[in-house]
Amino acid sequence: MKDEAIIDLIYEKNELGLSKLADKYEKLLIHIAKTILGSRSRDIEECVNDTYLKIWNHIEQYDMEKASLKTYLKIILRNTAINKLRDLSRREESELPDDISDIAKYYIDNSQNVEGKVFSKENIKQLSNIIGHLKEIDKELVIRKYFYLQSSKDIAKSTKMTVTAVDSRLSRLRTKMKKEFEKGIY
Amino acid sequence: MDEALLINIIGQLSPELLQDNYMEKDMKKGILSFLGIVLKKIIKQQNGNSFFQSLSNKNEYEKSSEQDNRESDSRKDSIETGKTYHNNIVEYGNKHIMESLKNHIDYLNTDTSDTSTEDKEDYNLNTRGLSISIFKKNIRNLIKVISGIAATFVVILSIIIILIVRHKSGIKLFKKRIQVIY
Repeated sequence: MKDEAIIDLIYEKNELGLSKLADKYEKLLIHIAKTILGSRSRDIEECVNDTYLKIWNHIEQYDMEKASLKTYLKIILRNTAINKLRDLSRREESELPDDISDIAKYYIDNSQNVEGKVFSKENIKQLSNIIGHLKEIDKELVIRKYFYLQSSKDIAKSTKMTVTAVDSRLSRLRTKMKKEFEKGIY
Repeated sequence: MDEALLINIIGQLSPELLQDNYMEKDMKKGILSFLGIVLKKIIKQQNGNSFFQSLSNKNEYEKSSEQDNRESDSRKDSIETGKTYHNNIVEYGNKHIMESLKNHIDYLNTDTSDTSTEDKEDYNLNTRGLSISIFKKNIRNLIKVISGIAATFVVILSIIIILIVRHKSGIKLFKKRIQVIY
């Protein structure tokens, strides 16, 4: 079924739309949730269900011209998964799964330090422009690492680079992005 | 730039920037490698080197041993239960591999990308896919055989040409000798 038809069904609050949405995108959503949360099947399931619920409740906010339904779903799911990680950082006694990526572990340890920081729309726009002006491969590395929280090992495998090359390139990119952000370029 | 901060801020970027297919590519790679492993297993099974094949060999051995040694009933019972258990494993294994293969082929056909979003739910592997794949396999074999014959023919022809060019004078001399004798 086409995305437009699914959206129409959800607009009409027809549950068939939700089941069609699940049929089409569930595997992808589970894959992304698994990348961020590791093998915590319960959290993954919750995360995917929350994504469906959010799209069901806020379908009127979806702008088809800006991005595809798939992109919206990915963003909602990613942010829901990040919230789950933040919850994990609050629950100190909870054990982390072994297959969770290093960057996700780092986020769990450090998310509370940056929790209160609020970003203005201008800051977000500026960062969007900085990332938008990166080379395609650099953009891929940044998105994979900081949007999908993929481990350097997985990124290296997908981009056919070595793990050290991925890490050093990302480190250089962070420095470059910081400089451009502070200088107010773009 | 702090990584935790970057993770927070990157989630709020405009959706236009995040229209990527990285995860889809990863997924497909994963599925393809899985398919490769499953196909290898099936091929191995057909060649008689697989786990299931070794188990069925074991089963045959058990059958023969059953015929030879019918002394104790208890032993016979244990072999029979083992045999049914083993048959179940083999059956389950074959079924499981075929099912997972079907599921993954179905998934690959129901592409998640935006370009091919039509319904493909009615696609049935049993009615269409298998017969076509066998047919394709035959064509592939035929092409291989023909190309092999053509390559051999070219090689032989080139060897003949080289021999003729190298021994041109020799052939001429041989011709003259024949003429003289004649």
